[in-house]
Amino acid sequence: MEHHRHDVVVVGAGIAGLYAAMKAGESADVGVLSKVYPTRSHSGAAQGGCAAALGNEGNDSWEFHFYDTVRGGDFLGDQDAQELLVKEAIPVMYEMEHLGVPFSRTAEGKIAQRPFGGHFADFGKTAVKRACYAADRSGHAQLHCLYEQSLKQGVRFYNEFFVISLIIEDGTCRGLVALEIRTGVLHAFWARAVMLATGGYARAWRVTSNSHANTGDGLALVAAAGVPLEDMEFVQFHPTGLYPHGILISEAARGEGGYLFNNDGMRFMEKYAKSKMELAPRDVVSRAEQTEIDEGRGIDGGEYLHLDLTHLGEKTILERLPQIHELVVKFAGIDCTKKPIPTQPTAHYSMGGIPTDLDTRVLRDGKKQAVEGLFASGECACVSNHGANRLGTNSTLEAAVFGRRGGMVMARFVKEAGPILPGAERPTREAEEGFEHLCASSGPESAKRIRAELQASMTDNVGIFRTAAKLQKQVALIRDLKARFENVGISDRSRRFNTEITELIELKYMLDFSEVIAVSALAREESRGAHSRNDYPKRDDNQWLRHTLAFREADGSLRLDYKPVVITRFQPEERKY
Amino acid sequence: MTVERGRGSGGFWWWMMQRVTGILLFPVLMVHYVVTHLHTSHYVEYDKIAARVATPAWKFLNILFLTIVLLHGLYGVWNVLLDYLSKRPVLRAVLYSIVVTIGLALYVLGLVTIVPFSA
Amino acid sequence: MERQFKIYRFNPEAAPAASFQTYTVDIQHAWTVLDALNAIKWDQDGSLSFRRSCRHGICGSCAMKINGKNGLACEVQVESLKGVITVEPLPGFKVIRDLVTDMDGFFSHLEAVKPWLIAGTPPTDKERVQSPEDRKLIDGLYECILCGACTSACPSYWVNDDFLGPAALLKAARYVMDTRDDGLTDRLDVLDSRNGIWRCHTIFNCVEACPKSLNPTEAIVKLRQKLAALRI
Repeated sequence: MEHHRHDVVVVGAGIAGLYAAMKAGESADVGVLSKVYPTRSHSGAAQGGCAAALGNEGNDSWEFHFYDTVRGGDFLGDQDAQELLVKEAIPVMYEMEHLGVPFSRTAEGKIAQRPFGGHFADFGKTAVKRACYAADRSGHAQLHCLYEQSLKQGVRFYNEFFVISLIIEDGTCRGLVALEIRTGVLHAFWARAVMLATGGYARAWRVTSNSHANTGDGLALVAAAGVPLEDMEFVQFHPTGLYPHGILISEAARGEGGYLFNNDGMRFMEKYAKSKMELAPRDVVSRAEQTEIDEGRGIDGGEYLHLDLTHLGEKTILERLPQIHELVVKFAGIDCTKKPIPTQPTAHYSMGGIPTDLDTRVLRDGKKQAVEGLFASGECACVSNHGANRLGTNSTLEAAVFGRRGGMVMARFVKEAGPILPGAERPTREAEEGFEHLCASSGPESAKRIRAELQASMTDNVGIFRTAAKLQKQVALIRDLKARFENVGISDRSRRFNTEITELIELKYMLDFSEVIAVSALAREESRGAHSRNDYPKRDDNQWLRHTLAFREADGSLRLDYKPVVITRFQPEERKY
Repeated sequence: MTVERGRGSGGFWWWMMQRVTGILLFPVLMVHYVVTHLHTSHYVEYDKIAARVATPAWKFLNILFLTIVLLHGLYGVWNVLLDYLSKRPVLRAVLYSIVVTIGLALYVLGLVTIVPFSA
Repeated sequence: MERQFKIYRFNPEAAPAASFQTYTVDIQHAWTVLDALNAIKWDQDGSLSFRRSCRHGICGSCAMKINGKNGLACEVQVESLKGVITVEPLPGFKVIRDLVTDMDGFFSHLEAVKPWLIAGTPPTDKERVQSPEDRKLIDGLYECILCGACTSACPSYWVNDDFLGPAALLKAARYVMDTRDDGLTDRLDVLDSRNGIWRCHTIFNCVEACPKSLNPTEAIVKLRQKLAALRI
């Protein structure tokens, strides 16, 4: 095993991880581990924009953004975190511009902004242009810029290093063990501060907008260390996934004026959100779509609807939505300037995650007590900014704001925390033994079958509409899959770039957190935001205005606990669009 | 990973030279071609041609022609060689000397042919 | 429909030399080459190694040579290809295993061009002003996904991997052409060097290879014009 030391080690190189690395790198020695080359991270797939109430294109204020975020999250978000998010959005957006992000521009040369679902001025009244964008490549533009700035800052990158274990001793995180994919060699990284920025977990669904890499690695790692996972039942389904694979068609398509039609040629959003129509928040639109599909009004009775852009005209489409145009041509063979796009809801974003405080410290009890030296930010974390449903364009915003914040907090922390202390030999040895055990897997079960069954069943049973029966079935199924995983076998025994091994570890991670999702969803007997229970169709603030915390016990079972929601300014009200 | 970048070796002026000589080459070549191949209604006779190339204007033209052809052609050769020589500094120096030597030798040969002509 | 895939295999742990292996795959409608590779890996041969992530042409992981042409496996529809489909790693890079190539040199070339904004004046507390026309100057430059298809297709790079290559130079142009950037002189020692912009012989392979329809050759020409303007 090779050993490395850095003041700060960041796991994951999306917007959150890179922002943290860049900021911490101003005063500390930083290493970044990423299982893909940094510019391959899924932040680069974000298309539509990044929210900030700059008011460049109409009257806007952070307070309106605050309200939209609270209401969009169906009042489950912690309002102290949300207030911080929307206030810091403004300086962070300017900072990103100063760093070089190639934002599109207004006629006066300011950062251009576009409308988006759920963005309103005057506390929910009129649509406002709040999403700062770089054509429809906003995430790509931010990701590349932050990577390049991290290079400038002298951050050390360990590309294609895959973390297999965290080293936590006596409530302190001392480092981690990672696999160098290229050689198959294990490395121990010793650090004063470790930040997890490993992204989301929507790969556990069959129809998903997420990349193959989004397997919730960080979540499984902390859960294995006894840290709870918060609000895992809240998974956002994006209304416009390209049929049939679920590749993302940005909400910018509707922001720019796209319509949704059912098989009868009706703009069905009239029935579900009469005033906001297609620009209602994502959970609302996805439920509407799923209802249309379930009631047989999908196109030709199938599992998709039509997103129509043709009335926008070729010029607008090619100028504002060039990537969408290209995607639809390449993956559906359709020219969206002439024909509607077949779309379906697609698993998209993970609201839940690793519980942290406002300074990105990971909370081992989920409430107050931090694991010393362990931080998390971005989609893998749950601060909780998004509550029960994330507002469009708040994701890259959260990654930027809290990644940046975490970077600064870690820089201060390592200055005060003294030298890096290598931990005992035991945890690295255990990690190595666990890894060798997996490499030697030779049972009759196929990883592909287990993965396919998991993904298909998550889409069927833990999709947009849930019931106790489906969720119970899913919990039992996942436990069965986990048992089968113990008898899995692989054929590739070599060490060099063995992706059969990495996929196997990712599957293990997915099985772990999927069980948490199903158990948390089964327990929450209400409908709130992205969590819709047919058997409990109403939001229940008396019982369920609280966060779920799921602990993995030493015996492997799950224990649920809850904590109150932080409400500072906006009291829960009925959510209508 | 360290990469040999040949810092500050400044290809700009050479690149510009290649463009300028390339452009100049065109009219000079045309004049040369028209005069020696098309505009010859008579048999090639030493005296007549010697008389022509002995004039100051023709001497200037031929020296110009010689200069730009050698610069343009040999730089082109050198530029192709350079593609293969990034990691071989010694061979690069050797070949550079050879190209320069050939260039100078041809230039001298050309000059001693053009300059002494008298009518 | 059944299709045959002839795939480049190399794993020095198993055999010192590379070879080709042929697989037959039952192709579903609208499958891309990546779908076929996944099907091979998951159903037939777990030892086949390749990179993939976003599967919609934005992350740049799965660039490879497909029927003789560089492209992203996730974007190439199997139905668009004729005959036996030959899949090879990107040429010009060292092969680590199967379809996985060593991209470290590629990324170190990127770093060499100082791919970050070098602004002459400190920022204000608001955004820098840039007109939409000025912003347009970097359209066609900032969209690069760093997949490596262009650099891997460049004959100048094949014979000289010290050449910065089209991707790094396109990135350099993305900053040099940005009206907010004043860093041309800071980048001169790299761009105006033996392995910089002068090694491009305007072969245009990079343009043909780019899955995002960008034009690195034109970007290099723009850099030359900028340099000429600076020097003359």
